[in-house]
Amino acid sequence: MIYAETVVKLDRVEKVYGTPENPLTVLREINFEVSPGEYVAIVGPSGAGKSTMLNILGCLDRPSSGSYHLMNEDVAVFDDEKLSHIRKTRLGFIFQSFQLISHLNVLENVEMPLFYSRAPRRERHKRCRKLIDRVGLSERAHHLPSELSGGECQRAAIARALANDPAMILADEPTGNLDSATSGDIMKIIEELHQSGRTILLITHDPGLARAAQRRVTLRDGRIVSDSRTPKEADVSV
Amino acid sequence: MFLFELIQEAIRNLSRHKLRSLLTTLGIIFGIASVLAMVAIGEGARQAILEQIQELGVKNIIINAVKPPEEQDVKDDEQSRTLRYGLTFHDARQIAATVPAVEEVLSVHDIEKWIWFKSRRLSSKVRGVTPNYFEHLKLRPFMGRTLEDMDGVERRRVCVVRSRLLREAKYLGDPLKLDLKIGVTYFRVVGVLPDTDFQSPNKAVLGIDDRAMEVYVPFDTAVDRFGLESETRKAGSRENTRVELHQIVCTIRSEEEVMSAARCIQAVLTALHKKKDYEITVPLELLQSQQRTQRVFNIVLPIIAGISLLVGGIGILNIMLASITERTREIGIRRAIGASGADITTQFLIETVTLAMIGGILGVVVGVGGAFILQAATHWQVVITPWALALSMGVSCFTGIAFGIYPARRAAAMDPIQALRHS
Repeated sequence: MIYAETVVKLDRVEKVYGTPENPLTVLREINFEVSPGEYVAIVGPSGAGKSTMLNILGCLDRPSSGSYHLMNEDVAVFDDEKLSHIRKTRLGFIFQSFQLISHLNVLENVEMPLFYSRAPRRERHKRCRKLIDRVGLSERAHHLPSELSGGECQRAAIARALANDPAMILADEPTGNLDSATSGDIMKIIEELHQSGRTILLITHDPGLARAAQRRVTLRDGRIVSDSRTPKEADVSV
Repeated sequence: MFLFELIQEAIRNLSRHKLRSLLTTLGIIFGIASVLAMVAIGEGARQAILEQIQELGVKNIIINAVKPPEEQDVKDDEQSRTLRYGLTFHDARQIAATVPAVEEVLSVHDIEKWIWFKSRRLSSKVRGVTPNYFEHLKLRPFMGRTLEDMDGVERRRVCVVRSRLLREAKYLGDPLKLDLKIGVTYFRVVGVLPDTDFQSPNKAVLGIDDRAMEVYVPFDTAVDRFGLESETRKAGSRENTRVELHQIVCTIRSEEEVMSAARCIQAVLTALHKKKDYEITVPLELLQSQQRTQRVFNIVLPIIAGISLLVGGIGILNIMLASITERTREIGIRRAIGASGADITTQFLIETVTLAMIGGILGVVVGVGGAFILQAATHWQVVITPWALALSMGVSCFTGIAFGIYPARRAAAMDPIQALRHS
């Protein structure tokens, strides 16, 4: 992992959609920092700008104004090619709907970030096998996503997010499609990742889930309305 | 390495929709197949014609006697029923004397008699030829000898046959001890020539239709024993025909002089013949007309190929556009995970090229198979050249790239966020 003072540093980030005559400001004046190893939950009701925030933090989108430093690099000015590279090398995504490629088996899905990094096949296999073992899917490595349960799919997605050894993991409603028991399992894995020193950004509308994080940032109408740190609680259940 | 895995991935993706992939490539399959078959037939015809021209001799000019149409019959006088036509000894002498480029004039007289082996009638044509005929038409015996000067001088009853005649006669003994009856006279076989079994529709054009069945006897023997007149009976009446020479073969000093010599010979014969009872064949001219045909072929073929590949390519383009829409979400996932636009372009382009190449390979299989089926059915000679195969593959690859670039670029240009949300 690469060490820097801050993993994420947003400075007066704004995001405006729509036409110049009829602008729709989704994010305004966002100033936000994440230090290495932090576990941050971004919470807020629907329409608060969480998804836009996630897209910008995940380098899938660029802010309309302001700067975004990821590992001390201003990625707000990067072009599509460079943003792809950042996503490939520094970020890991966990989506609500898993986003596994349906015709590839678990191992192949997990290997994909490394495939685009042009890692040799044997090295990929070795590394991804380990990750799959770690999320407890050893028996399922050669199964297709359609043959797995929702929880297993999300574990595969977590393994995939870890494949390129990212600086930050972005989890977008990781338990949104899961029942409460499975959600607990997934949150436990995320907690373990945090324990092992990963920087984690959890995006959720569920304040209960957010309680698992040591720091909670609340968004409302495109603004950060609160940023609170709580001492680590033992209870991580939903 | 990366490329290899992309190709593997492409093949896997294509095999998920086997029928669709196959149907998509049909255009390319038939495009390549038809072009390949046409090239094979064209090339076969070309090689056959070249072989034949080689056989006839590039430096030879062949003049055949032709029976003129009935209404032009010119009888000696009203009493005589003898039909005279064809080439004469005088023609031969005149050509030799007046056309300087002509090295040698070979006279041929056909004997219009049946040829028998025991009681079996053979369908051969008997030609009286001089010994140098063999040399100039490149006829080499694989058994025995050709005719020699003394055969004619001594009026020997000897002949040289094609090996096909032996098969037709169902003769299994020593060919050189075989006696054949021509009319009522026995001739001893002294040499056997190999078969020239042309498999080409051009045989008739070249006037060498039945060379494969010819029997050669010494010219002097033929003229002395059988005379110049022949008798045919038809519809109860008799008709006598007098043909002095059935064929004159002129050998020309050099290839450059062949065409001018042909014109000179034409002029000489026009002066000597009142009616058109001869036909001049210049193998070199056939070669040139073949080359003209080839040029036409060379223009038409790429056009046909182009049209069929355009149609095939559009089929591929269409299905790839449908495919990227269907796989929008997969593209979004790949992009989110770090695939660059170039990675996506490469991936889809490789898929298209793989599809086109599979079409190309199947097209080659169908084309080569079709050509050989055609050969079996029509006895046309077909020749598959390596360059035609290489070109087929090259063209399919090119089609894949040309029609794959647009869908691939479109896939790469998708907004990852939108693509991820696509259901």
